[in-house]
Amino acid sequence: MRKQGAPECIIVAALVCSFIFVSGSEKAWTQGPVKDMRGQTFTDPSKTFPMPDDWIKQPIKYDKENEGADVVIMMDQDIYHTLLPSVQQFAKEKNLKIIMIEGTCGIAAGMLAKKTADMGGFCCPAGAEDRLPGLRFHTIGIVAKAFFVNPDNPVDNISETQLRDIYLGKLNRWSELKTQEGQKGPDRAIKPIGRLHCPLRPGHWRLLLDDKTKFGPGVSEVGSIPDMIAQVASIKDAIGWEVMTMAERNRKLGTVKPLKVNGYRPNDSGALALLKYPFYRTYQVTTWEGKGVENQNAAQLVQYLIKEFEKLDPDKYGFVSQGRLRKAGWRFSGDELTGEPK
Amino acid sequence: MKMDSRIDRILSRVPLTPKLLIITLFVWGLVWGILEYLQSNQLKKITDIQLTHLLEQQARENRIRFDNYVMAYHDMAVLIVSQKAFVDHVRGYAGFSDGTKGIKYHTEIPAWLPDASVMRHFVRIHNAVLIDGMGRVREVYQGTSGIVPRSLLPPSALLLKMSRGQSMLTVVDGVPYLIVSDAVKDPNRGDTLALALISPVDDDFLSASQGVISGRGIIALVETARQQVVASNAPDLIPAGTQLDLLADRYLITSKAFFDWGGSEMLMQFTALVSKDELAEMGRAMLVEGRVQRSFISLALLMSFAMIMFWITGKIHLLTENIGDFSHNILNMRLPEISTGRDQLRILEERFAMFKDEIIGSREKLKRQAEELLREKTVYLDTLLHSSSMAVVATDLDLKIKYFNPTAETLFSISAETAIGKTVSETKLDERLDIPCFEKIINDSDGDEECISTTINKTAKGEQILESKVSIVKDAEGNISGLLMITQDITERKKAEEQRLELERQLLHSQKLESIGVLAGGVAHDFNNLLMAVLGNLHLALMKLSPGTPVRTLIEQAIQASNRTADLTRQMLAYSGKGMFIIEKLDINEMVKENASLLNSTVAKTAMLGIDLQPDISRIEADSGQIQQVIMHLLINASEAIGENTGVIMLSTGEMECDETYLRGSRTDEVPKAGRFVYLEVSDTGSGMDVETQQHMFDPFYSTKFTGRGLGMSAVFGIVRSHRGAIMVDSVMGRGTTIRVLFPAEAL
Repeated sequence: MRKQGAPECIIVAALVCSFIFVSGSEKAWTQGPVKDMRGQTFTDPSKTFPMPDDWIKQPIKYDKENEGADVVIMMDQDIYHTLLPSVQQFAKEKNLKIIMIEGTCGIAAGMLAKKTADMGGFCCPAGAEDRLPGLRFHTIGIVAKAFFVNPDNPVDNISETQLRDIYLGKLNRWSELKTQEGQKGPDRAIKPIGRLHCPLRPGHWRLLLDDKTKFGPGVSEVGSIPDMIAQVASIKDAIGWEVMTMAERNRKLGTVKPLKVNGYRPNDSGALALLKYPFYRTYQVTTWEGKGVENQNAAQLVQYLIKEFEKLDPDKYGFVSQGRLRKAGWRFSGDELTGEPK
Repeated sequence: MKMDSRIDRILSRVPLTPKLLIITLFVWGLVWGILEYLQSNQLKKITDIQLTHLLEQQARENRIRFDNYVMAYHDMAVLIVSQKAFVDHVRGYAGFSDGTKGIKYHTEIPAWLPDASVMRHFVRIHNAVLIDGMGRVREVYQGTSGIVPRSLLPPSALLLKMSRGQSMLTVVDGVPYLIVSDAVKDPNRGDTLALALISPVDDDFLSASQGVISGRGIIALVETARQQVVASNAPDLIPAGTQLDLLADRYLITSKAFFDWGGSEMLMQFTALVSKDELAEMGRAMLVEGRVQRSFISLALLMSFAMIMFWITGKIHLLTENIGDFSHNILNMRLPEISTGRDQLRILEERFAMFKDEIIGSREKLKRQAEELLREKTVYLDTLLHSSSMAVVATDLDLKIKYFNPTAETLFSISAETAIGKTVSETKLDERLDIPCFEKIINDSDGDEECISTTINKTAKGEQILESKVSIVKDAEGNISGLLMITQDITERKKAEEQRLELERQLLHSQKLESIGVLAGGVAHDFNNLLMAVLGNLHLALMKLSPGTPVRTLIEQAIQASNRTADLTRQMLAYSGKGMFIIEKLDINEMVKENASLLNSTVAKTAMLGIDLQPDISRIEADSGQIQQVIMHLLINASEAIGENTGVIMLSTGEMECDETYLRGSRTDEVPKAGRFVYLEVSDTGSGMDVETQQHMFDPFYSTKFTGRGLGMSAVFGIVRSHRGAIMVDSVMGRGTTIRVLFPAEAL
């Protein structure tokens, strides 16, 4: 029952860092310079990841345990809890048997790749590898990604640049930031925490720093959302990120305080729509097009979900629906959000 | 009941200490059993909750280790691809796409991987695969766990792409695999050469992910859909393929349904398990420990209890003896002897019961005696009050009557039945009593506690003089609770007192007047005899003198002076009552009429004399000369009161019926008997007399005038007294004086 850290992982991390440092010249040779800290926001919707013909011909076939369903959906945990009530409502209205499974973007991508689900739900924009033949992405909306600190931390506002500097390892003490009263923050070391999931998909944390390798050595990484909330809530000088719905959902693990970024609160949907608040996740669902893979119920469900999302309180957690995004000048390809406003 | 009393008798024979010990042991056993039951249940509940919590914590930690271990694979791939040996090795290929066919397998660590001394500190590489730009597998390092499945030689393009930049968990041929990859790019030709690290996520992998740790925890990968164990770090206990629900009886289980890092497409649970048998064993150990502790505590409590009981028993024995001594010495009561070996508490109980009965009996007896005493006292007081010649009335503070004795009934002519319960004003007693006196002592609590008042009670029989003494009544706490009024009729007493005083006054005055009378009479008598001799000789001398002789005038003046002296002596004799009395029936009116001119000359010229004679009045028996003297002196006195001023003198006569009360106002020392009287009244409008003058106006030789001799009014006094008459004086300063002399009318 005794706890033990992961000493070998620490050693590994140290060795990796030293090794990368030693052989850095080789990587530079292969990868070239970094142009922009803010990473890729969306991938090109016109490109499709090539798949073998027999895969393309392969129809949707549910796993044994899902047989008999009208629609099978695998959704990332972020989007799952937001959309579940609407899906249940749709199933009731249409008298359909809809099986919606909670998972991650990776599991959703995995089931889609195996063609065992009619719909996938992602909290990130589609990666190049996600654009499988016949698969269509529909953006429900975006949701602010909040940066949280411990509730005892007097710092209330932070700029995008300062956030970036913290995770780059250039800004290391809270005293370099200002509190709400305009005073210096506590003279203690900042302990940045990251959850660098879905590195192949654009957007999300890559809006902060495009690449894992750009994160400073002081950033500690967690593997799950509860770990992130628990750590920020328990470590006095920690800073981390998550969407506000997840912070609320994991509140039993501890309370965290969302920071204003550039003077805007993360739940200020207006600021997010105008990108004055610059960090967000993209809620997307997928449907299939083509013989043997199309599901009309899924297609109707997508439109239903887009409409229902419009009805949610936008300023509770910082939701911006597809309709508002369009009005705000965000670029779409069909139903899919493909670019920020120019 | 019979059985109960038998048990009771048996129990009473057993001493207290063993009896209580038996009861205590019984209760102890009962409590022990209950505690055993409750504690074991509660302990199980607590340990389950606590261990579930710990299990969740352990599961979380295990998963974090697993996450870190998996992610470290990716770092490992980046590391290998970045190392110089790797780059040199792939540069050695004639281009990444040189058309070489076939796969080169390594069982030893190849040159493009770090050497063993470095590898030992990294995650364990099971398989490393080099894939050229054409997607062909060029070299394979087969590490510790067997052969790479054919479907992964090479991995699909999608899998290879998905495993770049992240640790990819996927299921291949029903077996979970971890695949990570990275690539180097040939800058000249644009080709890439990828390194894929492939490891089955099996029992060894799970064990390795947790490092060298000890503990009861078991972790397992469970396929979510089928709830079947895919791998565990304790395959001997939980082999792959075990259904999770079958483990629920033997293990506490917690699960995490998926991996959050986004690089996993496995829908698998990361599950932590703790053996329930071990938990039960732990619970048993804790229970045994609890029992041992309870036994020690029980033993200590029993010993303490025994000592306390020994001490209490001694105290009970002492108390029992004290009760016996007290009963014997104070109550004179002999209690049964204490027999040893019996229940001390029972003995105390018996003794105390007897003691209690005795005290209750004594108290009842005392109470009866006190009641009897009180009753007797009440009867006695009631008798006293009933027998009292004084009226006794008790009221509350609202003057509501509470007690009314028979004398009060008689005195106030109200029955007690009527009076009691009513207020003083409702019974109209307030008209007969001095109510302000009542109120004063009620309201003035710091003042007198009693007051005495005299009031007049008018009854059909006449007026009563009532003397009341009112005093406050206080209750046991000293608060004023009411009033007690004792009233008596003092009419007779007052009357007697007045009579006594009158007699004393009359006696004194009589004695004084008698002394003066004796003195004046004696002197006047002798003086009159001598004066007769002087007058006789003067008349003889005058007869012998020839007319015209100057001496004759002197003698005539001497005779005149002697006559006046004779008048004085007559007045003195009149006052003393020793003058010449020729009693005859006399009509005063006739006498006044006959002497009208003489009387008119008596008054001063400034005064006017009026005469008012009531016709047909009775005659009186009197000496006419003396009555004439009375009229003359009264007129002279009235004339002198007017003095040089003008005024009116009224001489009137009349007849009237006089009662004792009226006659009591007479200025004579003897009050005549009531009856019809003829009066002679002289009133003037003169200066009037003050009280002092009125008191002494009849005293001999008392005069307010310088030239007066003070014998005129005293002569009137003496003449009226001699005729058993009365004198009434009414004088007001500045307004005048009326003097009425009354003489008993002749009886018809």
